[in-house]
Amino acid sequence: MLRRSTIITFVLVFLCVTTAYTGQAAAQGVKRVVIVKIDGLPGYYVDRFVKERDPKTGRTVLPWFDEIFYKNGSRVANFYTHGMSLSGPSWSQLDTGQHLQIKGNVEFDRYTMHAYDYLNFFPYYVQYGLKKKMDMPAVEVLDQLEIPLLYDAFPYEKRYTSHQLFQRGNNWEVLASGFLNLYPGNPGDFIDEWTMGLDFRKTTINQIERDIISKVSKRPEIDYFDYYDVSFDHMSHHNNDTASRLVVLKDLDRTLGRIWSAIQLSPRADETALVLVSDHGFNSDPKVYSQGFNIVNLLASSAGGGHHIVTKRRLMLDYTIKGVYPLVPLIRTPSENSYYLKGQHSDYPTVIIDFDGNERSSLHLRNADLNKLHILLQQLQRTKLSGELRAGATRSFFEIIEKNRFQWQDTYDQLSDELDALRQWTEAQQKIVSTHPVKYSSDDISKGVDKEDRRIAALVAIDVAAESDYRTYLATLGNLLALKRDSFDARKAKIEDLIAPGAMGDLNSLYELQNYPVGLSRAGLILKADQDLDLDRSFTRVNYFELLQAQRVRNNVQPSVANRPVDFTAVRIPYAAISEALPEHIAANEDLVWVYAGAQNQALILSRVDRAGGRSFFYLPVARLSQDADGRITFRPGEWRAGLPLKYFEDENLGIPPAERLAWLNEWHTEHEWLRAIHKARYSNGLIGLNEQLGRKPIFEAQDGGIPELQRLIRRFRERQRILSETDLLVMANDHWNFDVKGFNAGGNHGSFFRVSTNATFMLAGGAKTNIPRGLVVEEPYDSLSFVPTVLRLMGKVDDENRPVDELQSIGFRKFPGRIVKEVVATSR
Amino acid sequence: MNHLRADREAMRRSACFLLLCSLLLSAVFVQGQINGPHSNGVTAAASPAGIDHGFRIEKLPVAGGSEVLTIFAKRMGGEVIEAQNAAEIPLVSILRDTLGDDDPTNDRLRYVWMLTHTRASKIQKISAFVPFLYMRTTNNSKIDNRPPPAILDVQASDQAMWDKVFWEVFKKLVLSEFGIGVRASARHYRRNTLDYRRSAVASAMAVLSLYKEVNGGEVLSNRELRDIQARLSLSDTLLGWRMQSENLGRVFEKERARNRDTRGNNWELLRQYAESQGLYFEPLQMPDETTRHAILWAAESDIAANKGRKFESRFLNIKNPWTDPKLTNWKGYRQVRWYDAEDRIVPADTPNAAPRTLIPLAIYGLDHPKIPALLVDFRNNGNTKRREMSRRVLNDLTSDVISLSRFGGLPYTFGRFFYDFATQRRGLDVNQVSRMRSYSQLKLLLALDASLDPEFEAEIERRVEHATLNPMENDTDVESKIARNQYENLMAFAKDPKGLPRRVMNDRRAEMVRLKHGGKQRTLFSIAHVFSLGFYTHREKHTPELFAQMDKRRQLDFHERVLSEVAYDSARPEIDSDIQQVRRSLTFVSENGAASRTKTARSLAKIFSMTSDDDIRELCLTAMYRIDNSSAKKELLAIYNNTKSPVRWRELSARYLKLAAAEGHRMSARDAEQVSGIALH
Repeated sequence: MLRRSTIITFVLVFLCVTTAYTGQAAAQGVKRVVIVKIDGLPGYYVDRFVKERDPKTGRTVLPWFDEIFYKNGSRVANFYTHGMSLSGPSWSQLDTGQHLQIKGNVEFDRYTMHAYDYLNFFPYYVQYGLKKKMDMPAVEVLDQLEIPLLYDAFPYEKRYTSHQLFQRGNNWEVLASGFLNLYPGNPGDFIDEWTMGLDFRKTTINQIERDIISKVSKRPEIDYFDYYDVSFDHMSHHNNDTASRLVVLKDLDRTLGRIWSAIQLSPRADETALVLVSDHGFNSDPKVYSQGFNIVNLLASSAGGGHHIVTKRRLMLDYTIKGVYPLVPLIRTPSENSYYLKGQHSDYPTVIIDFDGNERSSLHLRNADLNKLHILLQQLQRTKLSGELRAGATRSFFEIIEKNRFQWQDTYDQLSDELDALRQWTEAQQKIVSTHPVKYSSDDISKGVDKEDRRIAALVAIDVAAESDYRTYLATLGNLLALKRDSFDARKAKIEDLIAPGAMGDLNSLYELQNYPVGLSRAGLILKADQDLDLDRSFTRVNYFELLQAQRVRNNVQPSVANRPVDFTAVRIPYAAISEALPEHIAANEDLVWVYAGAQNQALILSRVDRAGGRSFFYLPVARLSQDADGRITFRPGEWRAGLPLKYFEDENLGIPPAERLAWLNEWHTEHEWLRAIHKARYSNGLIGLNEQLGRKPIFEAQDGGIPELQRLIRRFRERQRILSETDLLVMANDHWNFDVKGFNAGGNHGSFFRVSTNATFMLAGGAKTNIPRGLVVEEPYDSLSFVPTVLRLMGKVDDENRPVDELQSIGFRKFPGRIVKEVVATSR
Repeated sequence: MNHLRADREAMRRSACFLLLCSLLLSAVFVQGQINGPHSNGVTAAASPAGIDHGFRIEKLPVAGGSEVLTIFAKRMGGEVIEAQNAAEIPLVSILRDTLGDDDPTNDRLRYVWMLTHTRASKIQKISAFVPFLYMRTTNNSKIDNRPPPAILDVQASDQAMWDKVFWEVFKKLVLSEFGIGVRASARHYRRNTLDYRRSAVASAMAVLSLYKEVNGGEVLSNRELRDIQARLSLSDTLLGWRMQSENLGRVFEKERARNRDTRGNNWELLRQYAESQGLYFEPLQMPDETTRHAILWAAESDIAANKGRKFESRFLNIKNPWTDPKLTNWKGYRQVRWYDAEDRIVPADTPNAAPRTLIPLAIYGLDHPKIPALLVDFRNNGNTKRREMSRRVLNDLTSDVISLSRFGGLPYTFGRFFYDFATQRRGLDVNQVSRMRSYSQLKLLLALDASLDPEFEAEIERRVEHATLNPMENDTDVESKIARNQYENLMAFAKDPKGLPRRVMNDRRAEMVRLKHGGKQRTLFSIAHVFSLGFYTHREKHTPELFAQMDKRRQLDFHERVLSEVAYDSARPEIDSDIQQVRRSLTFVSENGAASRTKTARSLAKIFSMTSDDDIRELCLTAMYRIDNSSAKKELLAIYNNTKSPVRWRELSARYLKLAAAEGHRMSARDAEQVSGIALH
C-alpha cells in the first residue's frame, strides 16, 4: 500500500506536469508560413473542380489544389465566415483572430460623417506618396483599437506582406517592378500582350508572386509571407459563367503550384507551411444573373422618406464622367421628394448608405428627434404660424430636448473629457514626432523604424482631425442643451447652430425606426385638445421594416429569383429594453438581434455569455414586435414553423433529425452546437453571424491592475467611435438579389448569410517537420476566428487556452476567442 | 480670304449635290425595299411555335488531302419550311488542310466562309459609292457560280495590314488629287466594304460560339474552334494577324470573359431601367441558352394609368410611352400574357392568373459594349437608324466634307477627344461603335428561333432590314438563299480539280517557301508580292521531298506551340499538364527540331527548370541540342554554368554543347569560346 502522502505527491506532480504541458504553447514544427489569401473563393467551388476530371487527360481540373492540399495537406471542408460574408469585416477576423470591430467595407461616423473607406486603395497610395499615411485605413482603426494583425507577430525584417486590405506600409518597388514585368522582353510577345490588352489589374499581384517565389529561397530569414489576390472575386462579380471563373481558378491553381514548387526548392522547405485561406464564398450561378435593387432611389422617393443620401460609392460609376476621379469624396444624392430639406442635400443628408458587398446594405438614418427638432424649428421660424401652434410647437421642441437631455448631456460631458485626453495624447505625440529624424540609417530602414515613426505621425494627424470634427458636433449639441425656454426666439436662431449639419446624431430606437418622422404631415402641425402638439399626427412617418419588406418588382423573369428584393432586416435591441417582455425561462445577458421578415415572420436571437466566456444562443420565433414611444416592447411569441427568418426549421440540411428538431430548436445551445447543427443549411451560420455583426463585443481586455486615466479615457473614446459607426438597420437581400448601385454586378455577389456566400476556404500543407497531416479532410465546421490561432498554434505561439505566448502578449496580442482546428494541430504536436 | 470662301462655297455645293443624290437614291431604293422582299420574305417565320433547333456539321473531303467542314443550323419541325426544302441553312464553312492523313498535328485550318456573305451586286456596289447613303438598296438576288469569298484566312496573314497600308498611301497620293466628290465616294465605298466584311465576321463568330456551346468539340476540336474564334476577333485589330498561335487560347478566353461581362451588365442595366420606368423586360434566349437580346413591352393598362408620367429615357433611348398618342391608339402588334401573383408569366389556364395586353416598344442587343444597343424601335424606325448613323455621319462629314484629320489641329483634336470620351463614358447612344454585331446576332436568332410569334417575328425582321446602313447588305431571307447557293458553289468548287484542290496546292507551295529560303529572301518575296499588288506570289515547286518537309514542319509548329503553352502556363508539367503530350512534343523536337524558333529554346529551358521528371529534363536538353540556333545553345550553356544544377545535367549539357560545336551548330562567338573551354570528364 502506498502511503497517502505519496499518492498526493504523485497526483500533484502529475498535475504540475500536465498543467505545464498544456499551459505553454506546444513545440510545433512550423517555423515559416506562406499564406495565400484569396478574396471570395468558396470552398465548395474549389472542391467541385478538384473532383472534376479533364476528359482529355483524366486528371483533375485543378491539379495543384489536389497535389498540395488534397494529397499532401489538410483542408477544412466546412470553413465559414464568422459574420457577414463581406471582405472588410471578414479579413479583419482572419487577420486578427478577434471578434468583429470593423463591420462594413465602408463605415461612417454618425457625429462627424467621417468615412472609413477600407477598400479604396487609390487614396491610400496618394496619401502614402504624400507621406500623410502609413497604413491602409482598416489597419489604422485596428491600431487605434490596439488589435494586432497576424503578421505583427513577426518582426518587420522577418516578414514579407503583399498589397491587401489590411496593409501595413507600402512598397513602391512592387508596383515599379510589376509595371516593368508587364512588358515581356521579347518584342513578339510584347505585341501579342499589347494586342490582347495588358493586364494592369494584376501588376502588383503578379509581382508579389514573383517576389515570394524568389525570396523563399534567397531570404531564409523571412518567416512570414503573404500573397493576396482579388482576381477570383472580381471575375465572379462580373461573370457568372463557369468557363470564365474557371480560367481564374486555374490561374490560381498554377500560382499555388509555383509557390509550392519554390517552397520545395527552398532551404527551409521542411519547416514551411503553405496556407490557403479565403474570406468568404460567392453567390454566383451560371443560370442566373444577380439582380440589383436600388435602395438609394427607394429612400430618396417620397414613399421612402425623401431623404438626401450620402454614399461612399458613386452611383452608376462607369457611366459618369466624374467617376474617373479616383479619390472618391462623399457622394451626396439629392432627393427631389424631400419633405422639409429641399435643396439642402449638401448640409443635411438624412441617410447614409453602405451597400458594399451587395447582398446586404447598412443604413444610417438621422436621429428621429433631430428630424423633429429640425422640422419644428423650421415651423417656428415661419411668421404665419398661429399663436396656439407656436406655443404648442415650442413646448414640444423643448420636451424633445428634455427627453434627451440626460443622454445628450452625458455625451457632451464624457466626449469632452475624452477629447481633452485625446488632445493631451496628441500633443505629447507631436512632440515625439518632432524629434523624429529627417533621414534614417539603412539599419533603421531595414528594421522599419522609419515606417513606425511615420505611422505614429499619421495616427496623430487622424486624431487631431477627429478631435476638431467632434468638437464641432459638440458645439451644436451644447447650443441645443443651452437653450432656455423663456428666452427662446426661434426666429433669431440659426438652425445650423443647433442641428449639426452632416450629423446623424445618436442611433434610433426601434420605435423611431417603426415610426420614423420624414417630414411634416400633410395637414401641418396639429394640436391636441389640450393645446399640446399632437406629435403622432403632426409628422409624416415611415415604418422602415414594413417599407423594405414590401418592395416588389414586376419583372420577374428568372425562375430561381423571387420578386422580393429584400429578404429580411435586422437590428440590435438592447437587452435592458426588452428584458421585461421576454418569457421568464429565457435568461439572456447580452443585447438581442431582432430579425424582421414580415409582420408574422420575425425572430429574436438571444445570446448569453457564461463565466468562462462561452456564448450560447436561443432563437425565439415572434410576431408583431413593436416598441411604443415610451420604450416598451411588446410581441407575440410564436411557434417554430416554416417561413421564419433564416428558414432553419424547414431546411433539409439542418443537422438535427426532423423528429428532434422542434425540441432542439426550443432550447439554448452553445455557439459550437449551433454551428454544427446549422452550417450546412441554406442560411448556414447566419444566426451566429447576425450576433457577430450586430452585437457589441468588448474591444479592450479588462486589466487587473487598472490603467492610467488618460489611457482609460482614450480607450473609452475608441469604444465610442466604434459605436458611432454602427448603423440603424441591416438589410439583407433575397437570394440572387443585390443592392449595388455603383454598377451592375450581374455575375454574382456576397455579403449575405447564405452558405454559398459564407463557405470559405482554409487549407494547409507543409514540409516533413511541420507535421501537418496529409490527405486529411476536416469535416468539423470552423469559422474565420479559428484561422489565426490555428496558424500561431502550428508555430508554437499559442497555448491550449488560446493565449498567445508572452512574446506576443508583450506586443498586444490577447486571448483568441476562436477554436483551434485541433484535427490539424493535434497530429502536428 | 476670297480663295477660302470659294473653297467653302465649292464644298457646300458638292455636299448639297451628294446629299441630293443620296436622297434620290434613297427614295428609289426605299420603295423597292418596301415592295420587294418584305412581301414574301417572312414566310420562314411562319413555322409553329415550340420548334426545336440544332446544329449539324458536314464534312466534304477535297482531293489532295483536305476537307471542307460546313456548319448547318436548322429549325426542325417547321412544315412550311420543310415543304420548301429549306429546313437547314448552311452557315459557315471551314477548310481544313489535313495533308491527307489522320494525324491532327499536321492539320491546318485555312479559310472561313460565312455563306451568307457574298460579293456585292453591281447596283449594290454603285450604291456603296454614294456618299451619305446610309441604307440598304437592293438585294443581290443573282448569285453566280463562283465560290464564295472567304472572310478569313486562319493562318496568320498580313494581308489586312498591307491592305490598310495601301489604302492610306492611295488616299494620300491619289485620292487627295481629286475633288471632294470622288474622295467621299471612294472612302464611302471602302467603309461599306469593310463594314460588310465585319458584319460577316460578327455573324461567323456568333454561329461558331453557338455551335461550340451546343455541339462542343465534335468534328472540329475545341482547340480549333477556339483558334478560329480568336482569329476572327483579331481580324479587325492592327497587329492581330501576327498573334502567335500559342496565345490564341488566351485571346479567346479574354474575349469570352469580356463578352459575358458585357452581356450580364447590359441585361441588368436594361432590366433595372425597364423596372424603374414601369415597363416589361423580356430576355430572348439563343439556342445555347444565352440571352443576347431583350424586348421591352408596355402594358396597355399602364399606358392608360400612367398617362403623362415622367419618363427617364437614358439608356432606353425611346420616346416616352406614357405621353405617346401612337400607343393609345396602337394598331400594331400586341400580345396577351398571363401573370401569376408574383408577376411570373404562366399559362392562361393557371388558377388566379391575370391577363395583360402588352405592346412591344423596343428590342436591344445585349452584347454591345457599354450599353444595350437599341436595335428595333417599334414606334420609330428612324430612331434606331439615326443612332447607328451618328458616328458615321460625324466621321464622314469631318473627313470627307470638311477634310479634317483626327490630328489636323489642336482645337479639333481635343474637341473630338472630349466629345468621344464623354459620349462613350456616359453611355450615350450616339457616336457609339456600330451595332452590326448585335444585328448579326439578332438575324441569327430570328433564323433559328421558332418560339417567337410568326407575325411578331416578321415585324422584327422588317424593322431590322430598315435599320441597316450598308447598301451591300441583303435581306435575311435572301441571305438564306444566298447561303444555300454559295454552299452549292463551294461544294462544286471543292469537287472541281481546278478549284479548291488547286488553291490548297498553291497555298501549300507558298507555305513551302520557308522550307527553302531564309528570312532575307522571304522578305524580298514579300516585297515583290506587295509591290506587284498581289500579282506575283513566290511559290515552290511541289515535290514529294518538300511535301514531306512541310509535313514535318507543320508537326514541328504544333509541338512548338504545345511547349510554348506549357512553358507559359505550367508550374510543373508532370503535375499540371498533359504529360504524355509534353513528352511527345519534346521527343519530336529533340528528333526533328533543328529549325525550331528561339522562343522554343526558351520554353525548353523553362520546362527544364520547372520539372523534376528526369525523362522530361533529358528530353529538354536533347531538344536544346537539336535546335540549331544560338539561343538554344545559350540556354544549354546557362544550365551548364548553373552550379546549383545537379552534376548529371551539367555534364549532359556539356556533352551536348561539345557535340553541337563539333557539328557546327549556330552559337554566338562568345558562347563558342566558352564551349571550347569545357573539359569533359
